[in-house]
Amino acid sequence: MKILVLVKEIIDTNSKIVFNKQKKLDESQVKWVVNLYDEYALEEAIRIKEQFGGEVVIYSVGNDRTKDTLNYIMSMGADRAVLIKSELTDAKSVSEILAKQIREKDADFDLILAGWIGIDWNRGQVPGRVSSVLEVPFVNVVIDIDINGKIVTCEKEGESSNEIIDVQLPALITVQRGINEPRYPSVLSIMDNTEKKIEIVDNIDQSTTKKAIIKIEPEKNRKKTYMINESDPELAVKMLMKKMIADKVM
Amino acid sequence: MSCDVLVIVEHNEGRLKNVSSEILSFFGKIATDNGVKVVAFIFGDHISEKLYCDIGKLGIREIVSHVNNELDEQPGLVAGMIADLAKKVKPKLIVMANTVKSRDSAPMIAQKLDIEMFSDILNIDYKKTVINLARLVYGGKAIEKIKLLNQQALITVRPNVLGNDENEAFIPTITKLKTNELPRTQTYLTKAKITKEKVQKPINEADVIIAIGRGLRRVEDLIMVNDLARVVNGVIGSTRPVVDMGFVRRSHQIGQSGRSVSPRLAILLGISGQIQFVAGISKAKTIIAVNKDSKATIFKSADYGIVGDIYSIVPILTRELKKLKLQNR
Ligand SMILES: Cc1cc2nc3c(=O)[nH]c(=O)nc-3n(C[C@H](O)[C@H](O)[C@H](O)COP(=O)(O)OP(=O)(O)OC[C@H]3O[C@@H](n4cnc5c(N)ncnc54)[C@H](O)[C@@H]3O)c2cc1C
Repeated sequence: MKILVLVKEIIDTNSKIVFNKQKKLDESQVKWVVNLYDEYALEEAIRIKEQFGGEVVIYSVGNDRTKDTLNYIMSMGADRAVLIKSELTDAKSVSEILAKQIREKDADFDLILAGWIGIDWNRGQVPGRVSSVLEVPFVNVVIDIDINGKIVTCEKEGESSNEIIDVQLPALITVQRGINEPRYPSVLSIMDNTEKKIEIVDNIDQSTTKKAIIKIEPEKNRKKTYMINESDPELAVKMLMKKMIADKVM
Repeated sequence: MSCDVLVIVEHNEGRLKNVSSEILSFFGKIATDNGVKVVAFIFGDHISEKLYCDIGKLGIREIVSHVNNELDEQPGLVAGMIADLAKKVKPKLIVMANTVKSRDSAPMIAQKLDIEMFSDILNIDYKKTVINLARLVYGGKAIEKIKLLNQQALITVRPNVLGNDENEAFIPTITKLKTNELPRTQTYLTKAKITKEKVQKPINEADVIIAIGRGLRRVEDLIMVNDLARVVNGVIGSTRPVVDMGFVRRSHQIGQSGRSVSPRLAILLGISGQIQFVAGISKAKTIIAVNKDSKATIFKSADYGIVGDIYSIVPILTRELKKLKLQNR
């Protein structure tokens, strides 16, 4: 079984988000990590490989820095990785770059796994777009996977009900928290830099899409909090009700 | 036929979803005020005259409709169908709801049309020559402002952010969609649906949310929270540890690895205010926080803060809100 895993390097959203004078994000202050949901996808891929054999290949669009992040995550147990360096970061371009490289290098894949959303930009687009270019079925937000030959049974998370779905391989499936607990890469395999096979490719394609103009700004804070620090709970609630009625919130 | 805005309508067995009503009335108003041409597209099963009427009441004059009971479970087919329709009617903007369902097909539609997509939109400013949009990024710490000039784009809109405009009602014209045979390369088989215990409203569509954190000690104490929720017609959500303890379903977890919500009112009980939680709640209109620690960070994100024990505050708050509700009746 050949399993490809789409991995994105993102800003650790726990780090301080600082904007410089040009209103650009100050990247020197942030930490770079693997998107949380992509770790679930990689863990699931490795588990499938452990059970059925085969190969796990990471695909990522990034830059020079991304190599370190991939090195780390590969220690979980991926066989190789393809890192495509690109200036383009919009979801459409990234998807097209991924799909093109997959077609060139690993067109014989059985399964593509990915996290259902990137927690940095909150877009949730790349997997669906890649599935569309590669013309394979797309099962989104899955919390359980069961492989039976060429059929994968998935539990797909919905709003008021979950669905049990049979999908034929090759397919693209995105995973949600709850599917597994990702293992920690072992220290030995992190230290061992020699064996990891990361193929680095330069993207040369330009985007032809007419793009929207995008600006990122710090989010404004809420107005001052009306604090009630009163030892008598009856009084505290009365004060809250009174203030909310005056503010016309109630 | 052509139009400026194509709204993809969602319904539950023939009943309009709230978020779709919000989107339709928002664009219904723009249609009336600015002469923008809006078409609503509705598909699936249980489509009735009443549903058409409900859409007309929101200020919509034109509906394209397609009855097909297979589509509900096949985002791959839905994507092909909507992309074909968009090629015919050439809207500047395709508008969907930011629900689990739309998020399955939306990226495929955008890719088929070769256009950009912007998900989880919180604000729309629609002018003839420019469309301004806003959404949150980096765990709610930053806002992304998008300016569309002359290109086609697809957006998904978060529930509870557009409000409900009152518009003149219309009797809409109905056009039945003629579909070509849709390609079946992206289909799968839905074998079963597991309905979750009680059909609760999805947390992201709730008008009022009572969110609980680890300050709630035992699962039995949910009864107290439930009483409060009932009085304010609220839906219960929680932080991640509370989900992990099994008190609340995962689909009702709020935050970075859960749902992002924008209710009118959020009451936060025994929550410390870690950034991963706040990321999901920061767009609530009004936030009340109750925490026994006066230094809890959650107070920074709240409009009203009570320093106190939830076990003494919540029953009193419930009683007082109930009184107020009876008075206002
Ligand atoms: C990658 C990642 C993703 C995450 N995603 C999410 C997410 O989506 N959502 C999420 O919520 N968390 C998420 N977390 C976890 C998050 O960091 C916090 O651990 C979590 O939000 C804390 O939950 P809490 O406020 O319920 O618990 P705590 O931090 O333990 O806070 C409990 C609070 O209750 C107060 N309290 C206790 N007893 C009482 C009482 N009787 N009366 C009043 N107040 C009381 C305490 O003073 C304290 O402030 C994520 C973490 C990581 C690393």
